[in-house]
Amino acid sequence: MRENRLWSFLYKLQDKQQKWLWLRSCYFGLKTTGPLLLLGILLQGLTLSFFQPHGFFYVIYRLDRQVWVPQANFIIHSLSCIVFGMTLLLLCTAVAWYRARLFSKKETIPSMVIALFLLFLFNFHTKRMPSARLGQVILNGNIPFIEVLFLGLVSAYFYHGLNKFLHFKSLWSIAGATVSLGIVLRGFKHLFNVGFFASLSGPLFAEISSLLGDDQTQLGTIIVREVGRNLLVWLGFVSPEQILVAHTDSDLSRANLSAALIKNNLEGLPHPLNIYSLSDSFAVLGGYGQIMALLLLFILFSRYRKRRRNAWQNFLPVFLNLNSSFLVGVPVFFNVILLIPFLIVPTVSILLAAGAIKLNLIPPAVYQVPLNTPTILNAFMGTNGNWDALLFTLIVLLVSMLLYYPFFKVTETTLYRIQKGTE
Amino acid sequence: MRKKTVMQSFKLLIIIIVILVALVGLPAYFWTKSHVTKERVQNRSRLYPIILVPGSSATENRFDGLIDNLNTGNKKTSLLKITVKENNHLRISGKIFPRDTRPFIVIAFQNNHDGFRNIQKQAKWMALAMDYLTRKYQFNHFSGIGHSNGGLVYTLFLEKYLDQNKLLLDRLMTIGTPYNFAETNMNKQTSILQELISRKEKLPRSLAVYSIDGTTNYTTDGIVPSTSVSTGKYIFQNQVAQYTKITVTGKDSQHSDLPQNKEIIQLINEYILQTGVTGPDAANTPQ
Repeated sequence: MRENRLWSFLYKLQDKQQKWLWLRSCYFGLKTTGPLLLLGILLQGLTLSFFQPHGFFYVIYRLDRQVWVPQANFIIHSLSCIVFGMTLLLLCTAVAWYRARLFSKKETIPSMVIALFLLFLFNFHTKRMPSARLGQVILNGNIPFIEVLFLGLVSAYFYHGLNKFLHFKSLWSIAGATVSLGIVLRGFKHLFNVGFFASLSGPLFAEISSLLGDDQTQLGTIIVREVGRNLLVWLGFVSPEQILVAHTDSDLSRANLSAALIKNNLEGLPHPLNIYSLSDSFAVLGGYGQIMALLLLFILFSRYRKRRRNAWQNFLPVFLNLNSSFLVGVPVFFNVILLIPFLIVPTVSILLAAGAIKLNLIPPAVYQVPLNTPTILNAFMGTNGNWDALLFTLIVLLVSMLLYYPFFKVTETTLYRIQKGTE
Repeated sequence: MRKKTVMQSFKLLIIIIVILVALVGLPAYFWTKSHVTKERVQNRSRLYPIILVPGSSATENRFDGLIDNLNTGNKKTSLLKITVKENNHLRISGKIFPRDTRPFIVIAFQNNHDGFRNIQKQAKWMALAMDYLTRKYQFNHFSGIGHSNGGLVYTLFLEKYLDQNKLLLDRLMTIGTPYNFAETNMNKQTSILQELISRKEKLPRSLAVYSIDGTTNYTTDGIVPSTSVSTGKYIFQNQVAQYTKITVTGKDSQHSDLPQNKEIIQLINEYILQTGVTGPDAANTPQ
């Protein structure tokens, strides 16, 4: 009975969410840019895994002997930067266009122009080095989604407000107001960057950052860190170019590695429970939020061909932990239904892994893995090819799929109801 | 219809997983194995001493004859002697030559008496000497030889004081070590054997142990009963990576002559000295 209530609440919440216009605008933008983002992600995966020294395929296939690899790396990396830049431009303008269109068709073009202006102003940098150019716009894949979505929405609301409430009609007045808004927003960004707010509440930030630091051995803090990070990802504080890097260089991991190399085994290590052995090895399969589990559910059980196709398209990037294209395609950002498993599944995975390591069922991951190693292989390779660790990773993946399944069903049913409604 | 779609997706997924295992899993597995082996070699210190512990009543000069016999080539290896006094101070003589990677280090004790309590104290003093040596010479692996009760001191040190996260003993040779003191009945366990068995899980898993037993007749080397040496199996067998018992007979197989025995010198040459920097690890250790 209580369960039914929970599910009906979730359905209601999902229905309610569909009516939020700002969210619909964001989802429209994300859906529009999805294919372009996927292209950028594939190019990024190629350069990170194949062409960069220490990349996963680079080391396992010994590509260091190929003379053409550095040139290929340069070309593919440049291409991926261009594609990411175009993706973010398109995303910002698409969000502004859709939201403005819901106000009035006439507001679409001005809102898009304002969005473009704000995006450029936000990412315009000046360099004081004499040899460098005076100013440049950097639009690569390092800008978080939330920033681009926010600017797109702000542009649409701003123009609508100018038009409807302040009755700004002339080009000059609108341009002046837009520049003023840009300066204000840029000022806020500057304040954040120089740490004005951080210094205001210094002790609080210090506490949080120490809790979320890399060198944590307490299970509780590792979980809080994972939940906190996934919450930020869910809120869009993740950029297309952001990659997962295993914490093999932290002090604890180094102490473990040194002990393992000296004693030639993985028993009785000084810090068996740490971020690398728990979070990096078992809680980020396919990237943040154990997204590989959701992707497999889409592939196997989605009743919609479009969803299955999207999941197949993202299979390789997600296998290589580059999941922002899939997060956009679902979409996971701001999705209240998927927030629950997005936070819970990695937590359960960490607890399972901690229990297995404590009970000596599996050894902790210690050895270094190449850059962008598929996280599904992290535990296996981090334990020098321990088959129990690989088997346990697959069990964790299966458990994650089971945990994701009810929430996946809710999203499927909601989609079915929406489609039926539109028919 | 829906079932068919699920089955199709499932089949496709299986095919992709097989391809991934072949193209990604296997190369990744072989890379990891070779990378970890390489890292282990790189992690080892160049200095890889042989640390010798004499038996009861013997001084730091106990192994002089043995080391002279081992130093037969043009290149003489270094010899450093440490005697740990009862007040925990160290008396040091000899030196390690700058480019010598396989020096001999003898750790002896001012209180070199026999008996369970004294051997326990000597194990603690050995820990003190080892601490000094690792701090001064910065090595992280070594080989060991213990004669008579020196083997007991070594085993107790390994079980009680060795920090395996910092130091690796890859090979240990005990010569005429009475693991069950003078008891000839293997079913009767003396206090030292009980203690060593109770802590045997603390022994390094990758260790290779060679226990040499000298016999002048069928039962003893004149002092230590052969059965007492054999009880070492209750400590080491199924606990360390490799445990080998070797019996030496003939000339110089009397207990105090064992360190000069030609057979034993040959065994030391073969099992302790003629080893690469990597030691026995790769074949013996699972992870």
